Amino acid sequence: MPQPSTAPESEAPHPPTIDVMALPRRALWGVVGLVALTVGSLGLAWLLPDVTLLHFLWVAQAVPVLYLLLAWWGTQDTHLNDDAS
Amino acid sequence: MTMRLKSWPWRLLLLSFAGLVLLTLLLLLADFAGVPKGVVNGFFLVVSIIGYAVIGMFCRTTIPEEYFVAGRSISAPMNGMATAADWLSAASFIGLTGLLLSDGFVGDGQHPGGLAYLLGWTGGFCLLGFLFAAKLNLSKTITIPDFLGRRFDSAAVRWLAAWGAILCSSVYLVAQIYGIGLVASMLSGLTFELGVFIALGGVLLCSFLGGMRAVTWTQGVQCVVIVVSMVVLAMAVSFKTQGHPFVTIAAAQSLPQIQARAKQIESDPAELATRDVISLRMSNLDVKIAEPMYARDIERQNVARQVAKAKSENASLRDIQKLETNPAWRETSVDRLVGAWQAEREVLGEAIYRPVGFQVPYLNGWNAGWNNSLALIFCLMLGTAALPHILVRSYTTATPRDAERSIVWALAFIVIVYLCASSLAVLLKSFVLNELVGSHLDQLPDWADRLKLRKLALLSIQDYNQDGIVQFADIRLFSDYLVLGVPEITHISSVFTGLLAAGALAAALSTADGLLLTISNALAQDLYFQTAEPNAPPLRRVMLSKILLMVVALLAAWFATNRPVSILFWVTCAFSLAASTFFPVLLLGIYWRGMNRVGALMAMVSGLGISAYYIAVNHPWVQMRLHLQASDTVWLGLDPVCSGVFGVPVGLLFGYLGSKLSKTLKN
Repeated sequence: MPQPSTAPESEAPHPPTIDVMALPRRALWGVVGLVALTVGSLGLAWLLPDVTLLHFLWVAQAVPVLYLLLAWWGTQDTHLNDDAS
Repeated sequence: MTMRLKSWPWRLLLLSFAGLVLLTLLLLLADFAGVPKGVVNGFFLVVSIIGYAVIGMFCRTTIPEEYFVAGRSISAPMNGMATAADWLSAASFIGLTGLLLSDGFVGDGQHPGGLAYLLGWTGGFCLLGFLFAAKLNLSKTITIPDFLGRRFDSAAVRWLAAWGAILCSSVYLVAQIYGIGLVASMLSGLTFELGVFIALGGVLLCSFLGGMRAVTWTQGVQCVVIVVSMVVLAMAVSFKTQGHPFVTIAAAQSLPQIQARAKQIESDPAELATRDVISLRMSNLDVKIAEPMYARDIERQNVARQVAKAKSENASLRDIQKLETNPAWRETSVDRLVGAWQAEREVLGEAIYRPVGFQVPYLNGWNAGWNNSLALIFCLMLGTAALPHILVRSYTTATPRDAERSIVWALAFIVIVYLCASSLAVLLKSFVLNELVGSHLDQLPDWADRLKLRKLALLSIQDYNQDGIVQFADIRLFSDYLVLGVPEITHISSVFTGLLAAGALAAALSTADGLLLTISNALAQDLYFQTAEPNAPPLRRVMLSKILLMVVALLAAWFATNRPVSILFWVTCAFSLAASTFFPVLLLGIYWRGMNRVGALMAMVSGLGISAYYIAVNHPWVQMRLHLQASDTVWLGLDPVCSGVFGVPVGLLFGYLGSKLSKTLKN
């Protein structure tokens, strides 16, 4: 097995190790929301397979926008950002 | 130079937006003035490639920090634009509309529909933002293998991760370059091979000279081109069909009428007769595939009789050659003959299983299609969050907070494109069902004739029941790149073809740029310098990365020009491979203190191994060589592209077990 090398000049400022951290609460809820939104939306589409307008307006149009809102909400005010700043 | 660059990003983007609008208007005028379409479209191609190359030359650098991570100084919105362009590939930009149009929303009961792609590709950015973006930025590393190597303090982990990144990115890259060739040849009228190499020149000038810095600025401009071209096209089609530019509303207005027409077609006796003929042909092919030697002899005797008869009746050479295209006559190898029959059967199956409207009727209860949909969403989401060329964009912002914000910006641009793409699919369906289905074969709509006769055919029609009328099952739409025919189908100016192709070219080029950088940096930084020359000077590192970038680009171009590639299939496989290789090790590595280098190695090897095995063993070529049956190699009825469903849990399990066991043994 090759041994870890010493950091070359171009990589000099890098920290030698990377710390393990806890998942921020908001991100955790974001993942839960993502799963719930996805499975719930698909479940609705499958329960009502003939309602194409619902598939289009809810799953194809509204859910991606909700993902965007979820991504925005889930990445606000994590403790990591406070630490970094 | 860096300070100057910081002051003009928005000016550059505004300039590119204004330039694109001006160019479109000028070419619209040229189109009205009667300038040939080839010239108009070719102009888009030339201007696009020159524009990207100029940005690449202007941003050239040999400073390592600039070349590898754009100086870690890109703002969140700009990085979001670059990430969106990096991510919006030929498959997703060109393919999604065609996929929704052809496979419907929820699939055919066996395979996933287009909604699975739409949700998987957008939801993955939430995972990326929640789980990885900020943490990667905080590490101040330069590649994903570098990050993993440092996290586990192991050169072996870095080495393995580098090969994983190269594999996933190469699969993706070949599909992109194939897409570049399609678009470039369609725009310019050149051959496919020449199209690939010309467009590749633009990619190389950009990424070769300026690395990540040049790629970032180019991708920013490409994002403008992608979004503007899709939005303008969608608005134009909406205006043409419903008299207003609001595409979602136009699609919703069209849907009830599409549904009514679909029901009418589904119960049409001529349509049912066509489907019966296709079913019969499929049964015949099943018999031939079961007894290939016997079937080949019978078929050859038939063809020989037909050819002799045609010659005795002085038939044209073309008619005789048409008879001789029968695979039983043409193919000398039995394996290849069976392959040809299987391919024909697959095309026939698609003709009768795909939905007329957006869903197959009477699709009630749980079925294999839903399993496949959920599995595909899982793979696409986790793959999006673990694709190395997307993850490295988290390194280019100044702070972790900017890295997270840039993901939100990226998702915003991607969502805009996808909202338009899904609406376009609905509007296009209306044209296919109302104008094409039911028309006489000798009086097809003008757009259908043009799409059929193009060098890159987007449509083919075979009259299975020989009644001279086009039924829905007679139509084969080439969904991978059907969207390029939207202007012709919807009767809007051909300038939109150029604009759309410029967007498609930007999507393929931007992704190819990011992938090339990822592969060359993995080869140079993580493999060569890590093992052979760990103390090499920075300039030497940059130069070797550049040389490798060129070599990889040429190799990928050669591969893409030699083999026909299903863009969507290979891109989806790349997502599964990336999810299986990197998601478990990144998740456990960042959030679980107990994860160690043994666990990391086992997670990557097992995840990648299972995923690659499942894709390979279910590939028709491998099955034919090893005489395997799909029923023996398919697990839980899942498509090969969903291999990440097996790879990710196995990777997580082995990562956990490897870490625990090695710790126990050490103690």
